[in-house]
Amino acid sequence: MKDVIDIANFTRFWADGVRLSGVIEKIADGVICINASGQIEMFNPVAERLFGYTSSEVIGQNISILMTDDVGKKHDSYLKRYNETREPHIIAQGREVLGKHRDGSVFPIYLSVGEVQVSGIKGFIGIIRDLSEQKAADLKLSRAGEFLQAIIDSMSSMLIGIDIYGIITHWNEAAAKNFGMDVSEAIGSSFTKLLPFLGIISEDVTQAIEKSVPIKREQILVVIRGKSLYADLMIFPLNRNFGGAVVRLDDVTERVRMQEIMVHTEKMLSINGLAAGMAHEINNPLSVISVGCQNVRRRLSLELAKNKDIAERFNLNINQMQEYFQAQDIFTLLSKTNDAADRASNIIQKTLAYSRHNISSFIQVRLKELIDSALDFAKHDYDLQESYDFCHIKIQRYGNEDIKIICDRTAIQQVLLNLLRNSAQAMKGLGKAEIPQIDLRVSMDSNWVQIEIADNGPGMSSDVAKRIFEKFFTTKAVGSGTGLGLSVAHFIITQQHQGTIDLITSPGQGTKFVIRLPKDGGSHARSNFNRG
Amino acid sequence: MPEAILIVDDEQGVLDNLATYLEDEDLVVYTARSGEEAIRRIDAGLNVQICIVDLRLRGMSGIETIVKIRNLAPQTHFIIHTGSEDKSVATVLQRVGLDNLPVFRKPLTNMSALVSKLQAYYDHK
Ligand SMILES: Nc1ncnc2c1ncn2[C@@H]1O[C@H](COP(=O)(O)OP(=O)(O)O)[C@@H](O)[C@H]1O
Ligand SMILES: [Mg+2]
Repeated sequence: MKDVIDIANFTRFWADGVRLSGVIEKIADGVICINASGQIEMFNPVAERLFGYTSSEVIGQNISILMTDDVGKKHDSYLKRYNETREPHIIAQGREVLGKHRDGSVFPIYLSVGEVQVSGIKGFIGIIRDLSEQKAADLKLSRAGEFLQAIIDSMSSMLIGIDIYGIITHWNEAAAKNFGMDVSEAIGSSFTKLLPFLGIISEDVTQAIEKSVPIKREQILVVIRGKSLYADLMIFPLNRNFGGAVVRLDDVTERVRMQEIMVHTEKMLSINGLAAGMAHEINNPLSVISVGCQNVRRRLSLELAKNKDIAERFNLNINQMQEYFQAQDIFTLLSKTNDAADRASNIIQKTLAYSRHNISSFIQVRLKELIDSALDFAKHDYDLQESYDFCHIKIQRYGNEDIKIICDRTAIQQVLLNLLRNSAQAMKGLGKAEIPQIDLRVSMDSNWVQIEIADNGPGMSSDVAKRIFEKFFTTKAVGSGTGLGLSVAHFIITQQHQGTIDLITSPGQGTKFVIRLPKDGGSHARSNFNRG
Repeated sequence: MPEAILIVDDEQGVLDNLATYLEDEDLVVYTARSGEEAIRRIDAGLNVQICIVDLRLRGMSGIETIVKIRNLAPQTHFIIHTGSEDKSVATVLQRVGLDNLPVFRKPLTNMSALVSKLQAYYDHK
């Protein structure tokens, strides 16, 4: 093509070119001109810097040396196609492509190509912007975003970022898990609409943002997806540049429950200590009552010889007096008073014996005794009396309970009591027509005894049944159930005694627990048991 | 000389009622409100064959009282009369080697049991 250029045009071309090149030199982008056959005709200083060639090195060379090999190979054919068809592919529109540096390294550039035609001489001008830095910045930015997400995802707290309009901007994995809503769904939604149960705190959020002070709420009761839980809530306002706030929610249900239990246990412990001291203190006045009754009784009776003499001193006939006391039931009244003192002291004694389950000790006991005492406790259980009168439950006992086993007596009593208590609580809801009933069935084979406790209460759904041995699992209201009864029972039976505890239940069919215990108490017992 | 008994208890009502009952049995009964008082009196020459001692006393404990009286008057018989729970009492007595002593638990709803125990000591002599 060069050979058809006439001199006049060529001069004009370059005259324009010189003026143009002044501009091009100063441009911040790389500028490369090629002729119609792809040879480089101009290469500005920015291009020199970008590609690592001096302009004298590349002038006259095919532009493909600045391209990656795969594109470079095809470039001549692209040019040819354009020259023939005039159909633009890259001309007049920019795109992101890769440039190749002199040292062979490849870097992203933004390339816009224009066609120039000066006095019939055609060429192309390419403007090149280095994208490396922008790319790196973009990457950094998106990495930073991902990193932030990774950080907030790594936390077990639920973290929710909101802007000044109350729109959710951040949402971590814990939030997603607890609220059952993934990031894409949550981000962009309104905080109060999404979390209506937190409506009460939306004012706090506004306050926190406006006053720029963090706000803390402890142990608020929230209901998430039908599940109620205790949460600690913190609202941290972001600095003024960002606006908005970060809301942190921590599920502290377990802690709250634990506290309740600890409070209860502590109460129990101090009650035990108290009870031991109290037993002594109470037994003294009981002693006064009881021995006092016996003294009075004897001094009114004929038993004591001196009574007669003393009566006579007052002109009283002791035989008549006897008749009078009989008619007035005095002796019965006295002996009933004495009995009452006796009973009171027995109650204390039993309470103490039950509460004093210090170190586990395996002893030989008769099953009948175990069951008797568990039933006895159930009848006197204070909590039970509050919610249910155990005495109204019909208790049926089957099988030969005259079996001796080696076990931690108080632990097994506790298991039985837990089961009885659960049954009684479950049967509270029974209609008037149904008589609440608990069947206790005992059986044995050569090495095992089996105790079944079955109630005719409401039974359980399989969802509940699956979870009852879990620590803290309860369907009862906070404060009324700890969710520990069965997990403790499970521990005592399976771990401590190496037995099994199984559940047979379905809704409306009552609930049956089957406990199997090794008669010899299992290996713990064998190392522990002392027949002496 | 009639058989004499010393009752040691920090509750006056308990002392009074036990004393009344035993006196009606024609026994000679002395009472002491504390271990210290009991020891003081025995040290001062009070002669008793049997001591009925409460374990939980203000001041010196019942066990200490028993050990000290035993030192002063080795022939004395002791009966423990306590409102504390059986098991813990047994453990404590065992620890100090007094677990062979008879224990009567408060309240003594059947005084004749105590009386026959006392009787057994006298008959033994
Ligand atoms: N006999 C029963 N009938 C029906 N449900 C029961 C019965 N026993 C236990 N459950 C269920 O098992 C749950 C866990 O029991 P438990 O571990 O004793 O804890 P809690 O009694 O404190 O709730 C109860 O909340 C109840 O839902
Ligand atoms: Mg329970």
